[in-house]
Amino acid sequence: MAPTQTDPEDLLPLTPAVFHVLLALVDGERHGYAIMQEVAEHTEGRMRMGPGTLYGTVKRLLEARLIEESDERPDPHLDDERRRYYRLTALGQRVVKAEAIRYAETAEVARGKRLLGRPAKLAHAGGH
Amino acid sequence: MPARVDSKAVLVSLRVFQRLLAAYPKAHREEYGAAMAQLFRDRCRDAWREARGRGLMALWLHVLPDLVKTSVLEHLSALKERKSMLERIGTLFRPRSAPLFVFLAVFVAVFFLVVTTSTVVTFIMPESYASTAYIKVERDVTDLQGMGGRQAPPGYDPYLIQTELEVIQSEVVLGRVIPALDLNSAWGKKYAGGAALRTAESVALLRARLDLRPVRNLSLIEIRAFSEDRTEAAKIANAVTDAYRDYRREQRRQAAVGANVPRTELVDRAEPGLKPVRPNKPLNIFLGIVIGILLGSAAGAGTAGIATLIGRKSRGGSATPGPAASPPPVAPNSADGRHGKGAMNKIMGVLWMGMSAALSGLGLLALIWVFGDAPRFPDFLIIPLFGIFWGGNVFAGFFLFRGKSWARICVGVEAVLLVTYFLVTAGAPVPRALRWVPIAFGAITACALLWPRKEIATDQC
Repeated sequence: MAPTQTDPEDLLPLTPAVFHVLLALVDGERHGYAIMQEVAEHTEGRMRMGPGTLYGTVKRLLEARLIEESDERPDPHLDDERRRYYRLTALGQRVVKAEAIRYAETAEVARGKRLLGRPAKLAHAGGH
Repeated sequence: MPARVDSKAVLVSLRVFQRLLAAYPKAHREEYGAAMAQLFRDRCRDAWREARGRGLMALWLHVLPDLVKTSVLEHLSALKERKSMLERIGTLFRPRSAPLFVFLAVFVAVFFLVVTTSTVVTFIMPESYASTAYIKVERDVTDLQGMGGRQAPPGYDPYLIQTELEVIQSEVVLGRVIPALDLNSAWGKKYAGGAALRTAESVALLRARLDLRPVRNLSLIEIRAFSEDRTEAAKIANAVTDAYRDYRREQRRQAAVGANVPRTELVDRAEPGLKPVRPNKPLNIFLGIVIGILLGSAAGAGTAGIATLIGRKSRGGSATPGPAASPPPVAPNSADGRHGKGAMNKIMGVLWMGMSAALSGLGLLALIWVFGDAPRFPDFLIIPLFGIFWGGNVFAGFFLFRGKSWARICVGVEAVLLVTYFLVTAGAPVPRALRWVPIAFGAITACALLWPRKEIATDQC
């Protein structure tokens, strides 16, 4: 039986934590600590996710089938302990893209109202 | 890569964090606990590297609120995932279920509820002992004929016995018993939180504990006293007997010749009873079974009827259901988005209304039966509160029936009233165990209605 096609729009809007975790996984699979670092980097340190928030978000994303777990393996940059890696699913890719477009459209409206001056500042958020 | 050596502060922090993970639900802890601890350790290392102790302090200040907030959220999420009590029961009442099955399920549930309640109430009721004294009462037949003419013949006189029964229960006689046994302070300690009772109150209480009966065709009066204390029951029966005899003796001394004051003679003194006479446990349990059968049959028949009606309606609107599709993914922002009213609401609503009415009534009857005669019994408070409690449950059942979340408001109001009742009756002559009964009913109602479920519209998280 073919899986049910889910419209990404049904899952929008995403909370900031969910959106940032998905964004962190756009470039490839990552483990929890790497996701947290990536989010802190994206937000210039304004959003530092605690372990509870991060894994609560991961749990909900797994349940929503927006991300999936890949093989466990050690991170050579940290230590030899095995870590759980996560990656975006096809649905997750579509959802994060849809949310980024939504953000971009909102930014466009704000720009039209002269609330935002430099368009390039938000370009990294949508990745397109 | 060689294993790195962490500072003691990092290790201690990690150990504390691992302990604090107990705040999360077990399933979440088992799935993500190790990963969370690993992430925390990595952040500890970063913090230690950046600012040593101050860095760790800042990390804890960030992590602790996060831990508190997310552990609460995970518990709420786990609760919502768990099948609610109502849903579990509700699966029994699906319209496609056979009416006989629905009837049996409801019958068994109601029967066990009623029998359990009656058994619990029976066992939390205070035990009461009885002691009996016998006294002989006869018309006085003097040797000297009075000026009044005819004298009544000696022997059994029903009018005399009836008169003397009233005399024994009069305040003149019972008022002598109170100081003799110091009942004002003894019962004050027991029923009024230590404050001494007034004599009138003690007399009323004493009268409620006495059972006076004539022995058929004999000039004997049976004086039976009840108490939770077997010795006290015997003391009361003997004290009442003595007080009555003293009263009559004094009258005889003071009366003129031929005044015809009855003669009294002690036949048998009261002894402490060996076994409690109240509550009658076998009788109460038997009554519970009978009421359980009646209520269970009524509720089962009603529910089966409603389920059949709903089943007919739903079958009339839809064709044979197709193959089940895989469920859509749950939105990551909300726990569950399904809303709506179900047939289960209606069945549970009706069921709940009936059971609440029955249970509230039973509770109230039990209270009045056991303590209705006690002084300072706050019936002015208890009866309206039970009424409100009963009404609240009926309304809650009604809203549940309609699929409205207002049922929760009813339960909230009830909770406030029940707590008020509990506080106000704190010093009242109601045993502590019995004061918990309405609270327990309220708690059961609240659990059943507030338990997270998908049938009643709820706000999304």
